[in-house]
Amino acid sequence: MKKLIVLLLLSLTSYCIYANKFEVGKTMPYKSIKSALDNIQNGDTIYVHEGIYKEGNIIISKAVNLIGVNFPVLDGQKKYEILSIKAANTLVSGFKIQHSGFATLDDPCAIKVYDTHNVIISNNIIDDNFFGIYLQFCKNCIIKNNHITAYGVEEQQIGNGIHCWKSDSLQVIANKVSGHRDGIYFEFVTNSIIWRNVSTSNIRYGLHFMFSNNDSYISNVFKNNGAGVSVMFTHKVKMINNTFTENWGDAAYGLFLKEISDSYIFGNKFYKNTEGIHMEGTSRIKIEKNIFEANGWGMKIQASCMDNEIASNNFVGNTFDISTNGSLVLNTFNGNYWDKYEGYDLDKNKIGDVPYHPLSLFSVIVENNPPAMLLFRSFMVTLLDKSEKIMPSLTPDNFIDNTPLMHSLKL
Amino acid sequence: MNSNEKNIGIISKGLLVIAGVLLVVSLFNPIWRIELDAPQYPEGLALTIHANKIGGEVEIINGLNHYIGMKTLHADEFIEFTVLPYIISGYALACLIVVLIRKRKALHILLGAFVLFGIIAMVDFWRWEYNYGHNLDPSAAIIVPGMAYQPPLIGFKQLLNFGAYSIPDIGGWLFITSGLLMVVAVFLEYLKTKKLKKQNTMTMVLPIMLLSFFSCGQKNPDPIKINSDNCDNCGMTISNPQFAAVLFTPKGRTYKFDDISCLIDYKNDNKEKALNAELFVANFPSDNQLLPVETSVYIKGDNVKSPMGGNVAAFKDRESATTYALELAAEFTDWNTINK
Repeated sequence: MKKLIVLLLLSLTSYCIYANKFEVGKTMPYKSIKSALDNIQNGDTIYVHEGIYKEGNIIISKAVNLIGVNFPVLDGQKKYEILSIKAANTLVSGFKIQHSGFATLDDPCAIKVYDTHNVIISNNIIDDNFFGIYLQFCKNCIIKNNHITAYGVEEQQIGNGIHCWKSDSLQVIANKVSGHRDGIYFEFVTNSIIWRNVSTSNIRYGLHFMFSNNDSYISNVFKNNGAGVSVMFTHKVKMINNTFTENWGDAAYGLFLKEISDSYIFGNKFYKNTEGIHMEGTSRIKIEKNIFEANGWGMKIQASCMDNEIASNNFVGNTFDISTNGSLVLNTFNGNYWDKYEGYDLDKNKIGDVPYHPLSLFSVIVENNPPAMLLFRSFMVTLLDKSEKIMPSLTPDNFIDNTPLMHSLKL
Repeated sequence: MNSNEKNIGIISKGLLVIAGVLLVVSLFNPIWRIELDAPQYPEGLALTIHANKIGGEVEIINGLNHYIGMKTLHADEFIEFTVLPYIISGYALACLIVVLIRKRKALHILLGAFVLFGIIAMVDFWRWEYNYGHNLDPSAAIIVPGMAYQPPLIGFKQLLNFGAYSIPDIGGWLFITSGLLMVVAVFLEYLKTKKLKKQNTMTMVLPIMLLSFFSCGQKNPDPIKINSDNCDNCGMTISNPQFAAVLFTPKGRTYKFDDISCLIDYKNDNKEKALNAELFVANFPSDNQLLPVETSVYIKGDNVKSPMGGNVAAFKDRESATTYALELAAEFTDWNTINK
C-alpha cells in the first residue's frame, strides 16, 4: 500500500515537472504571449491575464493549453491574422479576439488551424474579424461555446464565422454566430457534427454545406439569415430537431437543398420563412415529423427531385403548402396533417377518407406567372381552386396524399 | 378676352413654371457626358459635366491622356463653372418673372435669350474641346503625327482605340425640355391668336414633349450587387465578387453567376439564351471589374477556392495572373479548356 502511495506521489510530481505553467501579464514573469510561447515544451500551459495584447500574428507551433483569465484581448489591429495554430493537442480558451486583418486572398482570421488534429477552441469571444475560426485539413477538433460576431453589411465582403475546409471528424457545439457571410461553412468536411449552435443575422446562410458528406446537424437555431441553411452537392446528411425561422425576403429559404441525396430531415421546425424548404435535384430524402408553420410556401419541390418521401409532417398556416414547377411527380406524400384539408373521416380511423391534393391550382399559376399573386384570395381564384380540387386538370392528379390526417400530430 | 389679348394663358404659365423648376433641377444633375469606350475598359469611362464641376472618372481619364500629352482637367481652371450656376438660376428666375408679368412679349424675349444662351454654350463647349484636343504637350510619350484628340461636339467619334460618345446627360435633357416647353408656350400663344381649340394643340404638342423623355437601350450588363444578387445557375447569393461571371444577352438581359463554372454550366444548359450572348468574368484582383472571356487569362488550382468549386480565377493580363499563380500554386489555363 505504501509503495502504491509513493508511486502515486512520484507520478504526480513528475507530472508537475513535465507540464510547466507560464503566466503572462503586466505584472507576471512574461510580458507577452510570444515570449512565453518561445519557452514552452509540448504540453505546457500558459495563463494569460487581463490586458490588451497587440502582438501581430501569434503562431502556436507546440502543443499548449493557452488559457485566458478574465478574457484578455488579442487585437489584430485590422492588419494581422491573430492566432495561427499549427500544433496538435492544443487548447485555446477564454480570450477575446478582435479586429483581424481584411484581405480577400488569404482570408485572415481570428483563429486559423492548419493541417493538424485534436485542437480545442472553446469559450472565446470573437468580435469584428474578417473570418472567425478557420480550420483546414484538420481532424478531431472541437469548436465549442464561442461567441462569434461580425458587423457585415450588404454590398461589402465579409468572411464566414466558422469556416471548415477539407476536414474530418469535427464537433461544432453551442457557438453563437452572427453578422458573418455564412455563420458556419463546411466544404469537403466529413463525419462531423454541428450541435446546439445559434446562427443569426448572417448575410448569406446560417449554415452552408458544400461537398460535405456524412455529417449531422442537430438542435441548432437559424434565425433571420439571408437564407437559413443551404445544403448543396452533398449526400448522407442528417438534419434533426433544428429551428429555421424568419428567413424572409425575396428568394430566401429556411432550408435550401440542391443536388443532395440519401439524407434525413426529422423533427425540424420551419416557421415564418418565405419558403420552408426549397428542393432542387434532390433524391432519396426522407422528410418526417417536421412542422411547417406560417411560411409563404411550406415546400417548393422542383421537377428535378425524385424518390423523396414526405410523411407525418404538420402543415399549418402556410400561404401555400406545396408548390412545384413541373407536372411529373416522383415523390410520395403520406400521413401528413394539412390544415387546409376539408375531407371527412366516417370510419373514425383518424385518417381522412378522401385523398388530399396539397398542390393548389393557384400555386401552380403563381409559379409560372408570379404577378398573378395580385389576385390571391379573390373570389375567382377561390372558385377555381375549389373546382380544381374536384376535377384536377392543371395540377398533376397523382400529386396526392392518400392518407391525410384529421388532427395535427403532436410534435 | 379682349383686354387680355397680349397676356399669356394659364397653360403657358404652367409650362413656364415647369420650365423654371426643370432648370433648377438641372443644376443638381450632370448636364453633359462624354463616354469613352475601349476594349481595356469594358465598362466604359465617363466624364460628366455639371453646372459647377467635372464628374465621372476624371482621374483615370487624366491619367490616360497624360500619355498623349493632353492637359489634365481641373474644375477650377474653368471660369464657366463659377458663372454657369448663376446663369441657369437667372433663367429659372426669368421664367417666373415672365409668369408674373404675363406679357407675351416678355415670353418671346425669354425664349430668344434662352436659345441664344444655348448656342453660346455649345460654341464655348466646342472651343474648349478644340483646345483640349489640339494643345498637346510636344514631349508626350505617344505622339501620332497629325493626330488631334478633339471629342465630338455631339454624337460618336473614333479616337485611336477609344470610341468617344458625346451626349447630353440628365441635366442637359432637362435643359432641352425646358427650352421645348417655352417653345410650346410660344406656340400656344400663337394658336390662341388664331383661335384654335386647345385640345387639338395639346394632342399635337404632347408627342413632342414625350419625345424628349425617351430613354436609351441598355448596352452594358448590370453591375453585380454582392450579398444581394443570386447566382442564376446554382441559386447561391453572390458574396465573392472575385469569382463572379456574367452572361449578357443581345436583348440586354444580364444573368449573373457566382463562379465561372456556373456560367459555363448555365451556358451549356440554356443554349438559346446563350446564343450570341456576350460572356464576362470578374477580374480577380479588382472587385466588380468585368473582362471579356476570350481575352482573359485564367489560373486553376485547389487553392483558388471559388464558391462552387470551379477553382478558376480570371485576370486581365498574364502579368497580374503570374503573381497570384505563384502565391496560390495554381496553373495557367485558357478559355477553350475551361469552356467545356
